[in-house]
Amino acid sequence: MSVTFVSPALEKFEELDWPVRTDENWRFGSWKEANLSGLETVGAGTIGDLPEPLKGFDRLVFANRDLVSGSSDTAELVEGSFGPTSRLGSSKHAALHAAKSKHTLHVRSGTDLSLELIYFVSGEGLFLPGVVIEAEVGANIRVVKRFISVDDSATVVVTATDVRTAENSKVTCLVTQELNRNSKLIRFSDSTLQASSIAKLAVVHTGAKWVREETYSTVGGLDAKSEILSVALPDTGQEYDQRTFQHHGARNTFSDLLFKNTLFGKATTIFSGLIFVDEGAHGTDAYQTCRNLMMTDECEAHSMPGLEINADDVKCSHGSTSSRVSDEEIFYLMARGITAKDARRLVAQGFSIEAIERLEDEQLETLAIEVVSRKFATIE
Amino acid sequence: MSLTIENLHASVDGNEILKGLNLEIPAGEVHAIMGPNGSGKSTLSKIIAGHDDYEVSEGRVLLDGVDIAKLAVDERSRAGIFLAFQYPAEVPGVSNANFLRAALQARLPEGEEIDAVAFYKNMYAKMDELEMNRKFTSRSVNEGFSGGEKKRNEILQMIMLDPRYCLLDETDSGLDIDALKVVAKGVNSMRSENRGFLVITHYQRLLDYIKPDHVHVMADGQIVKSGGAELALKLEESGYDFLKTA
Repeated sequence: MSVTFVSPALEKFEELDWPVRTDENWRFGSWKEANLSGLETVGAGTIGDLPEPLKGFDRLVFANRDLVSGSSDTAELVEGSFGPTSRLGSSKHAALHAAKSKHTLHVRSGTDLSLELIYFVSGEGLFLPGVVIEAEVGANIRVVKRFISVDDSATVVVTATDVRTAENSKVTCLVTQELNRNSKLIRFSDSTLQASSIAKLAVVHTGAKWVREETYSTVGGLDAKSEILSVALPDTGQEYDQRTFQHHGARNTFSDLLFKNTLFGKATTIFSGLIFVDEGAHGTDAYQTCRNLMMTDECEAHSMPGLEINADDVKCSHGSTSSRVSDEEIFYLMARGITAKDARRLVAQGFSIEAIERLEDEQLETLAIEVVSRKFATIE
Repeated sequence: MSLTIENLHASVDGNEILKGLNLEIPAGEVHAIMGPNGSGKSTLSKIIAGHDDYEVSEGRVLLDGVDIAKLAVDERSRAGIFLAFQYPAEVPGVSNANFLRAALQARLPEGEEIDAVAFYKNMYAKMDELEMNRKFTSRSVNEGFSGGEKKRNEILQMIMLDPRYCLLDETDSGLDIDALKVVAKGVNSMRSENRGFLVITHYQRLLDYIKPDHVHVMADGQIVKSGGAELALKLEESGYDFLKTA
């Protein structure tokens, strides 16, 4: 008789169900895409063309789960997942990460740190990276995470990042994903902010056929400031589904979310966001904006902004807009000799810039613009 | 060499705005068009630039003898037509420098790249002439600009793009007297025997600074009177009442 050991994490994963049509957290979303049953983790990967290094950044390069080059005194690979939690509908996927992720990159610093993480992704199956970024008191950490497909395989990336900022620290994190069009991305982004700390978390989505992203920010300390930024450029065959939660758990906290989606072809985006202010979190200052620029008549943008306020003396606003490219802007640009195609590209690129500029970091802004430009170059 | 408008009829949403307009602007001359509100002045400039809201049912516009009916807006611009807008559009997120660069790049043969150093040097020199702060290069096109800043920006674009025919649509509106002088100086610096101007205005004041060779009065979609610079002075004095009695 043999006994098979089942880890508690795996047990939990197996207990949970995949999302179904009636899940409120999957409203408008492609819940069928979320069913990853039967998929095994990918094996060793291959390295692609390395992008130009960012000046002043340490660089770690991964080929799937393996660290293939680089080192940093402040980053350590720890066995297993850090165990992300999902509060926005993807508990099954969070449990999958907890059960099957090979290791977590734990980044911790009490001073200035700039770190670039490049993930070359290849092979068919699951890839489950995890990163914990811990800024100690007074630290200033900048992290760039880049997901780049090396082949055309249907890789499913389930990635989790947990950002923790101690008092008076700052974390700026830019994630870019340029996965191939057969891949899927499920991304958890959690942040917990202590007093007087700042977290500026940005993502640029240009690749993958389907993205499900859950961003949860707990602004838990006096005068803490959370900024959540996203630039997404889906086109035909791509669906980006983003769910967010700005949780104000202390007095005088600030959060600002700005998502800019530019939709081409038959693209689909889904945005669902909630600002939640705890009882007693007076003086909260919270904003949530999702703007969709519709480049065709065939694209679809679903937006569900929301507020729940349980404290007095708060300033909160939320809003979502969907608009088309202004004919007058196009006429103006064309009246200067710019072709119709380039005029539309300029307007669309300009639309994304507002969110990118909020990074207030020239190097990261330049990188984000490069990623965006690469996508625009592929749009007819 | 001229920009010639022959028997132009045009309408928008079924309403005829231009009703057989004839006008010739030879290179080297400045022509001013004045006229009451709603006479079709701005429509004329937009039609020449190629705005597709307007339907041209009859007549033609010739650029140095070539009919431009089939040219798209951008092609007309590259062929040498420049419209300085009465209400320039704001283009969020696109810096003035990138915008101008894209406009100049569009004029180069495929595969040829603009010389960035020369571009900035040239742009800064022209901005200095127009007394524009260099910070404008990194600001989004016209976004948050005052009326005067927008008009200077139009003239900056005109100087940088070096067109053969310039259409100035109420460039004086929203300008204080100092800004007006600067803008007029920019326009006058471009006057040459190889370039023609069509200046649309309501007021004689602009023509004190940009001296026209010919002044035309437009009413109900046609040129109804033409004369020299003195016609503008007469209009300033007596208004358009004569149109009612004509």
